[in-house]
Amino acid sequence: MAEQAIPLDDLDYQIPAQETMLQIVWKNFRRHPMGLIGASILLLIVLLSAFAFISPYDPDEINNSNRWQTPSWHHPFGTDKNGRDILTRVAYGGRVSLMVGVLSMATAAILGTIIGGLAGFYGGQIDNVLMRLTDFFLCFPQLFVLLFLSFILRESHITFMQGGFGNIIIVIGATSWMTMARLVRATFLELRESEFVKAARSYGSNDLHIMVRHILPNAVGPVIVNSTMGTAWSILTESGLSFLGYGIQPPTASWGNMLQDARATMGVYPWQTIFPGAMIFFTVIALNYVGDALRDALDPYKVVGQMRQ
Amino acid sequence: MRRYIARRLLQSIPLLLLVSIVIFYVLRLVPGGPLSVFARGQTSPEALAQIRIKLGLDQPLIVQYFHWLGQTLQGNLGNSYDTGRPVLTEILARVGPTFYLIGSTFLLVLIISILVGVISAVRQYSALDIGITTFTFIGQALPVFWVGLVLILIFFSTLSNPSTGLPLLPASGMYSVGKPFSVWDWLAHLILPMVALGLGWISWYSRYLRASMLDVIHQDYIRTARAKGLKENVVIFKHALKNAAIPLVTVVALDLPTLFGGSLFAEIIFSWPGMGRLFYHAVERRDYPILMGTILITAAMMILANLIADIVCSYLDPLIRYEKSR
Repeated sequence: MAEQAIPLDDLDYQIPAQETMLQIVWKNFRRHPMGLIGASILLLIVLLSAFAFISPYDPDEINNSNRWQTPSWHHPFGTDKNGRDILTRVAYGGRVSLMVGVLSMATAAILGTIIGGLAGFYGGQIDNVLMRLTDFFLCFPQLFVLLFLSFILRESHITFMQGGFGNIIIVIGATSWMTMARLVRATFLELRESEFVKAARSYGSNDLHIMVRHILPNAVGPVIVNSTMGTAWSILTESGLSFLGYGIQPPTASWGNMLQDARATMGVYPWQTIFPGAMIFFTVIALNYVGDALRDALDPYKVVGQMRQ
Repeated sequence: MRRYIARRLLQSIPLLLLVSIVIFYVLRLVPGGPLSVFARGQTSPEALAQIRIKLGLDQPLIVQYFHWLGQTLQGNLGNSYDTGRPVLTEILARVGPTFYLIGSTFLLVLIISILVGVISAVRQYSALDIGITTFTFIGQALPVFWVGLVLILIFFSTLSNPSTGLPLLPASGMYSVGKPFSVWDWLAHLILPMVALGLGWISWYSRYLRASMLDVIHQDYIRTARAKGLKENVVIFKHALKNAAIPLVTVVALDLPTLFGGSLFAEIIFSWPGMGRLFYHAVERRDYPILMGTILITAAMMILANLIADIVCSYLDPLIRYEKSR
């Protein structure tokens, strides 16, 4: 009897459904109620800012006959000293504050990844110089440097974009890349001698290719978590700088300069202080919770373990 | 150890020089330069030229820098453009209040966060722990200046002392001007700025301490300590806390600059006569000598604080001590 080939289809063999990394991360993330609530709050705040134009009021137009209205149906958050609707300003200010938060964090993340990556990959003198630079930046109170840099830009009459928007992004980005650099450096330092890097080198990959395609993906988890928290930190920093008068310049609204505006009369008209402050608070706490949940969801041991199952 | 300290101190000299060079040059790059502060008034061009020569601004930058450096090394940081008084005098008068504020805040922060962190680690996942964790998230999301404003709103503008009708707590200055010294008066002035500044840090450190306590508590030597019949208090506070606190010391030193920055807000909101406010007003008034002076002295203090933290760390952890002595 001739041997018959058994068609593959008849085998009782099933390839298990593979979950992608993203699916696993999402599955882990969903287990964190606070992370989900945080994400929903963020979504609400983003929507509020995105749809700011729905408001019937102009965010910047001054109307002195309408000043200091208590919160009511017409003005849910009241009006400020120039008769401007605070809800509208909070929504428009949200655009500025969120954009500053995200963009300055992106600047910091890129700077930090480049500096940390180079330091960790090449080691030796390059590492030494770059890490001394990092220490140099770390030994100053960030706020002092921020004020100093904003002062220099303002005195030099350099303004990028409306209300000094670009200035703030550059200034915050340039002073908050250090944690990121250290994180990325640690990953690069750990992996540059690993088998897969040697393999990549053996078939002729150049340094840039190895760094970007082989090592960097391993640092994505910590970078994402750190960026989430960093965005929260940047929003706090922006509001602080604007509060001191060195951030976003009026009349362009940001949550920080609204607080600055409110300061003189807050004893009598407290809602001017409460609403912008609450927006900062909710955004920052939501980002922190999301970051916390992401840290757990992106934990490499967990994710890899689940992918192998 | 002594050699290690000496080496670290020597290493900080080039760092400080670099700082001074960078700040000096950047400040001079600003259009108008130091003179712009005088140019705003009614000063005639001839008088301006005279001031230029008097301040040495007609010399090449490098000469100006070395002149400034030579003077600085002799303890002369120049005179404030604004008040005309020596920069060093101005700064020294402000260092005290800042240290007083940061120091007392820090003490409060450490005491509370150690207690809170330990309790929430020991009773992990209890209602108390969940409450504390939620509180720490809230505390971290509140900006110092907003907490300050709200505190003023509550304790100064709204609540008043029923017997005198005055605000419950003072909201500006370090003490009541023109009144005889009283401890209560100083404490009352300290409360609001201290709480505004400390809230975020209490949250941050109690979270940190909770995590490192949880790490330590499950280790073998803690089980051994319990097994040999030590009281729980001794196990927690003597055996566990000591090891859990080591990473905290490093974190504290790294955070010191941020704490310093935060105190700038507290000082401005509560009109506290400290370094932060001096720096802020120097920026506003383009007072170059004060700017240079405050930045340099702050940098020096931060470097020193890092060194002290390293020493404390090695004192707490024999392993680190061993590595450094080699």
